[in-house]
Amino acid sequence: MLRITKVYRPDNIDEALNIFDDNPGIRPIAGGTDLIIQLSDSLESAMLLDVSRIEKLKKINITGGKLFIGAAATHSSIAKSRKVIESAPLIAESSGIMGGPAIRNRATIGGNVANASPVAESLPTLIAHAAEIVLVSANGLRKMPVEDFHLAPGKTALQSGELILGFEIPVVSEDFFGFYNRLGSRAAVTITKVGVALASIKSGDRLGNVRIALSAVAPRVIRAPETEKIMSGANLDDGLIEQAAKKLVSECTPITDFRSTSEYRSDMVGQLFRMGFGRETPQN
Amino acid sequence: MAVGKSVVRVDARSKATGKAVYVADMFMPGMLIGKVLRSEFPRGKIVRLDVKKARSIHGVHAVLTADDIPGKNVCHVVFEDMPLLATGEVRYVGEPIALIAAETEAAAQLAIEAVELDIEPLGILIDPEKYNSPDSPILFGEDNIFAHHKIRRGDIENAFAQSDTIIERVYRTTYQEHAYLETQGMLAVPTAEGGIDVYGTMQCPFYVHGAVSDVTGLAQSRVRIVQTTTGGAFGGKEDVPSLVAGWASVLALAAKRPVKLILGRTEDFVSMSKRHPSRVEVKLGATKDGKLTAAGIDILFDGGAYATLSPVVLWRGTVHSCGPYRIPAVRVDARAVATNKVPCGAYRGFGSPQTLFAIESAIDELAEKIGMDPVRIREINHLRRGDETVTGQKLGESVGLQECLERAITESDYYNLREKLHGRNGPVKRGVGISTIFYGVGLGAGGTHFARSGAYVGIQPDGSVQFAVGTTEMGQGMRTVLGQIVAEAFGIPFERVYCLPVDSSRVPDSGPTVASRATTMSGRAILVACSTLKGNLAGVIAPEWGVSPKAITFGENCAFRTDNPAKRISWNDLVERAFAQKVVLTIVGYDSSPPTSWDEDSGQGDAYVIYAWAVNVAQVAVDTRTGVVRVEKLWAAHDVGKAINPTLVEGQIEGGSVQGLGYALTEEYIIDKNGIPMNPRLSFYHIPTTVDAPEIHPIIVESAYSEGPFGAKGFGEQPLMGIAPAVANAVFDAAGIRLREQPFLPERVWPKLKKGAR
Ligand SMILES: Cc1cc2nc3c(=O)[nH]c(=O)nc-3n(C[C@H](O)[C@H](O)[C@H](O)COP(=O)(O)OP(=O)(O)OC[C@H]3O[C@@H](n4cnc5c(N)ncnc54)[C@H](O)[C@@H]3O)c2cc1C
Repeated sequence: MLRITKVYRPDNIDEALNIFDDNPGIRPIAGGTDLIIQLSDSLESAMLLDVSRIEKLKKINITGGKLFIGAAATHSSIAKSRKVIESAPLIAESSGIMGGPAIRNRATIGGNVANASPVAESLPTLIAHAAEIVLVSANGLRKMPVEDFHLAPGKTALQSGELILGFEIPVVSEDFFGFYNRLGSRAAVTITKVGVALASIKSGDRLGNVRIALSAVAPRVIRAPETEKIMSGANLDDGLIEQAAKKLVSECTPITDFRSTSEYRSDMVGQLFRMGFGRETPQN
Repeated sequence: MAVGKSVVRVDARSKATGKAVYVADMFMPGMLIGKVLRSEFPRGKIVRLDVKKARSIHGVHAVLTADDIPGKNVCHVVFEDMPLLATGEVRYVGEPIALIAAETEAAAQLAIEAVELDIEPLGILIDPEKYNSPDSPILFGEDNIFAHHKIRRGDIENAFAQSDTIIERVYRTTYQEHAYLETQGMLAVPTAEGGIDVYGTMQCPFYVHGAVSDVTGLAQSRVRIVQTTTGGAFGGKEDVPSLVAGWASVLALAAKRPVKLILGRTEDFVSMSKRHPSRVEVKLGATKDGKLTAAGIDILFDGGAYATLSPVVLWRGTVHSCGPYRIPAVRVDARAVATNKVPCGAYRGFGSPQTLFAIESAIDELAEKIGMDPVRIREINHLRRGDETVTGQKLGESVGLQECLERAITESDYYNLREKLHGRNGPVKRGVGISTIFYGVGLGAGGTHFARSGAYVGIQPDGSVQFAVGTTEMGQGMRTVLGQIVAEAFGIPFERVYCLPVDSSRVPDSGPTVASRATTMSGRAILVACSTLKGNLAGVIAPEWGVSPKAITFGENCAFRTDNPAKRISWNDLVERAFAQKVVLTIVGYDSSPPTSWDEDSGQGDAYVIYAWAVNVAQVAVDTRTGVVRVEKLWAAHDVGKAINPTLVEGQIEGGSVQGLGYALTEEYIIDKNGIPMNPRLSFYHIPTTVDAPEIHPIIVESAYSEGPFGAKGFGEQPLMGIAPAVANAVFDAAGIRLREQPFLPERVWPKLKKGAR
């Protein structure tokens, strides 16, 4: 049952940090598309700090070769942003397919990452793009790779009194090659059963700087270091893709639950990976 | 003038703009919030139930258990086995145990938590196939069987012995959740003089009427039921609203205040009715040239913890189990059994989607074994005018199956389409599948005692007309279609007619709004009323014109002499004169259904008054890498007798088809082996979205039914019923794998693709 005792709606970060200070246990809220559901299911009451009015948190801009996406940027604004589409295409893609239009208009990338689900849409693409998360608190700013931020289902490195400010992502070069392929349970508004994101730099027949992130096949979104190693610098042909696909499957530990089976998820990791090289997106 | 036109639905604007008032939108002075405490165990003995603490919580006005019910603790459906609140034993997760009425939701929640409840777990029966295993507990009667229906026709042993080809297959289906937009809810208001008014979302106001009287102990004369705007039902608001209304009513009487009780989504999901899971074993025999010789069918339905509608759902499933075919020898045995799970009930198709999935898949498997095209085997065997159904009913009129088949084949360009799709290479395989089905319209011999209807029609002094019926609008467009029938009967514009909300005090008991019967049954009652009123009006002018009232026709906004249409009077003038002469212009028309017959031992008789017919052709794409099945196109031909409103017919075809696709492909509600629901929410139970909907080509066939209003017969359920087998057959055509268990999730398809299994 939803029991909200207080809501603050600050206009800037300093105000927000003060509210944090004055109200221990207060919870940030952006789109509320995860949090409101969780609160409705729980018996506890909550105080909320609405971050969706803080301009700085909604910014999308490029400075010094880095794309900055504010934590409170909505998935629709990200999916539609020229800057994101050109500088970090997979992130635009994941924001463009999550949920449905109504959800995308409310839900934010910061909320998606803070919610820390192993099936979160933005995590694999942020990780593949080597994004860093920027955190702010009364003690100032700190940064870390997104993959270090996500610790376990529902668990992050966020400390109390800390807000996610946004994400810094290296702008991709012209020879970027990558894909984000995922399967859900229907064509839209569906939670990912398996997801594979790959970002790299392509020169001739070779891939460099390969970064692979997998969702829904482990307790958190994971990298695939062995597969990345096989791929980096090697000649990209069918044999390599096949070898890499097999390796990739061996790097994940999917479970069987009511959404899917571990055998199916394992095999799909390989299938989605192969499809990505054929520039194919799987249909649901 | 109005019939056959696609007028805009009368409720379209108010629903699209959010102005429509649902029960959750209603507030009354002093109104309390009702809540239900439910079992978390699939079965157990209630060893302690103490509500003292809960009652003492501030803001709580009533906490009731079975002992506090003033009337009978029973919800009568077919039998009287289901209590309003559990006594002694709980039998499924979600079973109601206690009721709370409080000033706020928070207080009600605190009271729920304060009830002291101890349940001692008892042995459970979860798998319906173990209903007669010695280790299983007995939950109903002596053998766990709620109902056993049969069909016995011809010499089955001999017929199989004479068959050239025989197949035997087992098909399984699982739950389907209605997922109506609006969850169940009721508002009960005690009246100053000791009666009760109940407002809420429902399909069957007269079931609710009886139930509220039963549990409150109030005379039926003091109970009034008003249907509020109903946000979808699909069968899910047939019997269970009686429970919800019962809870709200006993709370309201105890608290002496209005009580609004609205179920949350998960609560609704866990505790309200579902489509029955099934196991259907089919044995079919045919000659080498494809003529069906024999059908032996064994049906098992998982009824859940109480009988509710299982006996009648099973009956429809039984009557439809052999498909729309001529089969000389038939033996069907159908059983619905008890388990410690949510009671299953009505859902669009009412037991027939399960058995039609089996027979329509089996027909294809038989054709494949004989080496015959799936369309050809249907052409050879399908029912035509003059044929007998497997229950021995001779088909007189309105048998439009052949036309449905021809048009679906032509418009889909079936043969060329198949060839074209098979010619493509690549990992995505495409194919086409077909299903031919039929639907017994109305309650049939399984529910003759309800087969009646009433309609109030009142001509107003200004010449506009209001009417009311006892069947309900739940989004299917009934108010619009019936308005068209009234307008057509009087020959006045549709805009001059208005349908009042359903109120049990306004019209006689009209039976339930189920079985695709509202258009035909209420339409017939309306025509009875209109005919009397036209006689009364004609009587006003006939003497002046020197003719009998029978020689006067109504149309073009006038009454005129049938033999001399120039001799006429405008509708308004005639109504004005009739009022001046104090002629009765407000009456209730009453009608009962044409007769049916049934012999329970042989399963022979005229099961339904008339049948609707349909053919679906589905084009699918099967991704052999992922096992994902996508339906790309669908042709759906339906014989509806007469399309009173063609756009609404197409709307039913489109909506029902998509609901059928959900049943075929994505909808899976899981109750685990311990009886615990795993995914009772819409984020984990996947109904199709608009993005999942294929290109749908509705094809309307009109083979008139002489007893129906303007030739119409019901068909609202039919669009869902044949989709799953058409898709399964198309998957076989595309990828050579046979899916015998619905839904066709990629997790089920993919292993078969890997094995290349048939
Ligand atoms: C119908 C529906 C469909 C959905 N589909 C998908 C889908 O396809 N893919 C997917 O990944 N998710 C999906 N979701 C989940 C959800 O929409 C996303 O995770 C979304 O991105 C969450 O963002 P939000 O702004 O709504 O977060 P909120 O609910 O506002 O917050 C989520 C969490 O993040 C914290 N938080 C928010 N902002 C900050 C901040 N700036 N600093 C620190 N902590 C913060 C909150 O305290 C809370 O713990 C769906 C949800 C719904 C209801």
